[in-house]
Amino acid sequence: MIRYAAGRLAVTVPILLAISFATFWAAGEISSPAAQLTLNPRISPEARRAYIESLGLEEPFGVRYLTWLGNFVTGDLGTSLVRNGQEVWPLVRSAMANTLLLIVVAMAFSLAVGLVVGTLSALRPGSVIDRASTTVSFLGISIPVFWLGLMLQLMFGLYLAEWLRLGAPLLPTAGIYSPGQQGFDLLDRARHLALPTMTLSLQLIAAYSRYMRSSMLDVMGMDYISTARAKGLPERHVVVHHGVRNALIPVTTLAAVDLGLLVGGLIVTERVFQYPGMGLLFLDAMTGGDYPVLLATVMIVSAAVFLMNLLADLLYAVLDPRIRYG
Amino acid sequence: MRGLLALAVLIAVAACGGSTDGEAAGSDSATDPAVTTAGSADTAPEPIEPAADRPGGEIVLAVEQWPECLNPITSCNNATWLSWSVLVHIVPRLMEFDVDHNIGASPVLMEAPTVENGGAVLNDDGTLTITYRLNPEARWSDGTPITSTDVWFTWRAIIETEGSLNTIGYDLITDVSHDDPHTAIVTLSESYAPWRELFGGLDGILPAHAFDGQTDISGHWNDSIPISGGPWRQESWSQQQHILVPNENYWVPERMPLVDRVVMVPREDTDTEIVALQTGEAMAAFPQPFPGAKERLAPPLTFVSGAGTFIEGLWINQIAPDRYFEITKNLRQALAYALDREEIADVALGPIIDDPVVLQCAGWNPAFGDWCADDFAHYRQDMAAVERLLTEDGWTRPDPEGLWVNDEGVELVLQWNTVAGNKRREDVQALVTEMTRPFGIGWEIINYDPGELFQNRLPAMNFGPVALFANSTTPDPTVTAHYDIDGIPSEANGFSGQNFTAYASRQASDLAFAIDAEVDEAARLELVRELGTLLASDVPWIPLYVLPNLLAWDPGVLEGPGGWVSSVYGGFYDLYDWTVIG
Repeated sequence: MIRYAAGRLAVTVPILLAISFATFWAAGEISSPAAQLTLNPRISPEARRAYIESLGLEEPFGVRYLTWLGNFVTGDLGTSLVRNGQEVWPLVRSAMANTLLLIVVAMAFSLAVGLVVGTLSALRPGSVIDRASTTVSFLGISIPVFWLGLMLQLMFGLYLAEWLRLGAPLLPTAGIYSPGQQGFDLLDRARHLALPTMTLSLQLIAAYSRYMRSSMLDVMGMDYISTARAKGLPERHVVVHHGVRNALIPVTTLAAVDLGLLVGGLIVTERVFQYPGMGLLFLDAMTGGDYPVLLATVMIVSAAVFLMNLLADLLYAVLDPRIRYG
Repeated sequence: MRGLLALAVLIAVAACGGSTDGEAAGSDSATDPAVTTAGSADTAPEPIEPAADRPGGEIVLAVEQWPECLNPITSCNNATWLSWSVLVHIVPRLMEFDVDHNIGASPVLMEAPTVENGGAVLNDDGTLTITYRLNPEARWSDGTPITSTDVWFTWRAIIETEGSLNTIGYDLITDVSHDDPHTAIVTLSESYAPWRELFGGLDGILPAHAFDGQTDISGHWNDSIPISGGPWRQESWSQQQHILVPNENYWVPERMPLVDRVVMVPREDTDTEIVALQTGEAMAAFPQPFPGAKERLAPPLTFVSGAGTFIEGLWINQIAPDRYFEITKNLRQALAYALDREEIADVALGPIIDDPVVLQCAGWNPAFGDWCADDFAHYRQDMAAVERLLTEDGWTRPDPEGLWVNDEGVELVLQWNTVAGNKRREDVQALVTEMTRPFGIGWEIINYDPGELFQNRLPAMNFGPVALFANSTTPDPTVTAHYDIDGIPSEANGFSGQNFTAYASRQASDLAFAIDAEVDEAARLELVRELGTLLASDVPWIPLYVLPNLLAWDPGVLEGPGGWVSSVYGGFYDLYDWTVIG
């Protein structure tokens, strides 16, 4: 296993290098740092000169790329072109922490609900539970995220509070902590996570429950399930230890890839809920032509996708004893 | 690698810090002992005790545009919300507008300088002298008296700061005498009619002692304003929230805040902003007019609307980096002839006010005097005019249903920017896209966050060719900022100026300056008319409507809002008078 993981990591390095090259080229095409520096009204000519030299903007493309890569791998992500010279790393670190928290909570919730619903549907195909979950899943997959976010804001912020005569919103509708809050408050933070989590989760639950149902139906038709039953194993044992465990494999792959993609893919959710994560940072960098921030966010998301794929492969072996890597 | 790291740090410091340019900061400012000793010149008075009868409580406000930086002199101040949410509560002014748009003395002054009291004198040699008598009780939040040195310093800072947004009027000042701490004598090289708005109106004065003698303050006050001369002082500011608390050293009892704290939170999406109000997470908002306002702000919420101070239109950047062809006068006129501005005004404002009126002049507000005439009234949808103008410019329309094409085969498609998430403006974009299709004009719509658009792109002329936004107006008819030929932001002038259309008409520029210099009201009106006619011919931008102001709040939890809804200082200006119910 360790040898396999090391081998995969070794393959990942050149792939990440290739991605970094492509990203560097594409970011330069989308947002010319030289133009941005020239057009930033708050950078003095002296600072502009120094910045151009540090980024090697007058050097050939290859030299520029290597300079940036060298800085990047040593943790020097540079300084923002538009945010008054703020260093990029603290911006990315803060956004990434917020986004990771949201993703982990949303994924955990979605997997817990999606797997249970998918399993129950597969065990009783055509039942009320199955039909209901199928309908809700298709609804969940079909609803646009921005609309769902707004509806949840109204439901939990306004209507439920009115119906239950609470006098205050059941859940906060935006931000990451209450207005005026200073310092960390776990409960307050958790309450502010609730609606973005629900928004993200609905689609994930829908997808995971469908995958789980399909996978579970396949697995439960396998010979080894019949054998297990023939051996007189309790049905609960058959379902949990032989059915669910094997059915989890495709769902695990999907979830791991989702995890990576979600790191940079929460633009709409973060915008609706004014949630300061990687999605908003990426959007700001993209529209604002903030080249160093753009490069950093894209690279980190790319690395995340690869690492999550690797994680998915490793989980295969854990979940399915037949799979061994040599 | 260490060298690169050091260089990166150096760059960051240089970008944030003041210029080390000796000429800019050094000559007569950094070495002026008056600047660094101003704080200790007088004994600082004891802080006023907090009002024992202050009702207290906390007000939460939703703010729809969040500034990226706070510097009051640089392009940061191109975002109106910087003024509305931060500066008007903190930065003191010499003269200020009242609720009826009359300008008079602020609490910083003993009295307003006038011709009658000898405070404003047009000298025989053509120079103008204004004498401001400062209130000895006026002081900064750290207890330092507000003195004439602060006025002098502000003048130098506006002139010498890298990327100063607007130096008009200040560049006519030849001296600010500050020998007497309580008397600032400002001398201008020539007559300047809007002199009352120098260091006043929407501008203010800065504490000299806070900048260690540096008059290039571009690297200061970008993420906090540590010293206040207003009713409030800033407790904290971040991209997440802005907290104001009463300035206990404020010397005007009737403007001492009644609550303990005001928290402003960004709600940049209109829907999210209104939801915050509906749910009670915010107690008040000052949203731009949006479709459905009457329904969504129905009881238990309430709102007031009033004549606004902002004029909205299509601003045409003639030097946009992303233009694919020259933005000629014919093209601008053709665009004006392709629009049904009455329908646009109906769509934009109909859901908020009855009978929206189209703005027919390019720079003046019909709410203020008679300056605004019907200069643009002849621009109505006219296919023949569009065809004539574009054909004269070499455009052809091979497909009568398609877009115009120039001799290089480039289609007539204009990039159009506005504020992302602003429903009203996005509705206008959708309407105009359909409206101009039969006229063969297409659009490439790219919208930005307000901070990005107003604090980064506009000041750098990095937008458009077309942008939909509103510009503030004041009762004085000065429009020099919009049409000063030297005020086109560029690298050469350090991105100073607000001529965001890059309208390079010497005639218009001279007329704008002539309007500023003319003190006779009737003669001034004639000059305004002349400039208005020229603008209608050159079409640097296409006026659409006056934006009504809208202040919404929950009357069940908040008492006091509404009085300043039409003020140039925004609906939150009189926060000091607001109280929390219960």
